[in-house]
Amino acid sequence: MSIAPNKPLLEDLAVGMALPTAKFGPMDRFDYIPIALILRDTNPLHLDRVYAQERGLPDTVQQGPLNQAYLYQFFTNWLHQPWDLVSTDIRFSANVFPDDHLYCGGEIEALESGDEHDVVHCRVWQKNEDGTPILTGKAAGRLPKHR
Amino acid sequence: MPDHHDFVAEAQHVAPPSFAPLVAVLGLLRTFDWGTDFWFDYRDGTAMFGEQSIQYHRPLYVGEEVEISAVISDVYEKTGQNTFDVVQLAFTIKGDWDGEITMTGKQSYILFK
Repeated sequence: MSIAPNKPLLEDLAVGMALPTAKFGPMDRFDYIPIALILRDTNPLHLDRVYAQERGLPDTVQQGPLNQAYLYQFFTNWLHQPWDLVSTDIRFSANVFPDDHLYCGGEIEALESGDEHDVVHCRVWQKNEDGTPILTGKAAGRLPKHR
Repeated sequence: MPDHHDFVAEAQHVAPPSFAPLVAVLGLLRTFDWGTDFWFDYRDGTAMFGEQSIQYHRPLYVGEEVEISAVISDVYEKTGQNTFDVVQLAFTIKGDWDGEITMTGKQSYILFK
């Protein structure tokens, strides 16, 4: 499978091309504290290991939006500008725990030509080091007509 | 209509889109109350994300205030390995710089009681 170049134009791409992958980690439990404060989210699952273990989980659970933030960073780094992002449609399949590494990737599903700009539609995913899918879904981004 | 580039020059930069799901969830968590709206309590239950879809209409600018409105679009019980409740919300986020919509989307929460 060929790898799509970074910051591409429509003519550089083809359906089935893989996006350049990205790796993030290890995840850090201390990063969950500012996220809980930003979200004003009092769910003890993110900060209290005993609470998580009483519910059958190995450790505290990283907040879903933080998992997404890594996936968005991966996808928007590939686009020309971060806010070339058009849409995301993400399913949360599994939890992320402290010390996990996250691997992000994707594949081009469709290419749409427009008058002012073009749009690339991709299948995207995030997995942990065991290959378990964490996030799966779709993301679309605008592509400029010229460099 | 102000020019985006003028505003960007003033504000120095836009917020990265990786911040968008945090803004959406922060807003959603303030549009309802787990206890009074869903009889949900962290003492004996657990809440998790199900799915989230967002359409991005314009960037989030550093320093602007956003207004988030949400409606509960569906609530139902589902049985897999466990029985759980699914709460679906639809939301709109407006920025105060121009009063325009920055994001619209849907979010589902899974409640294990």
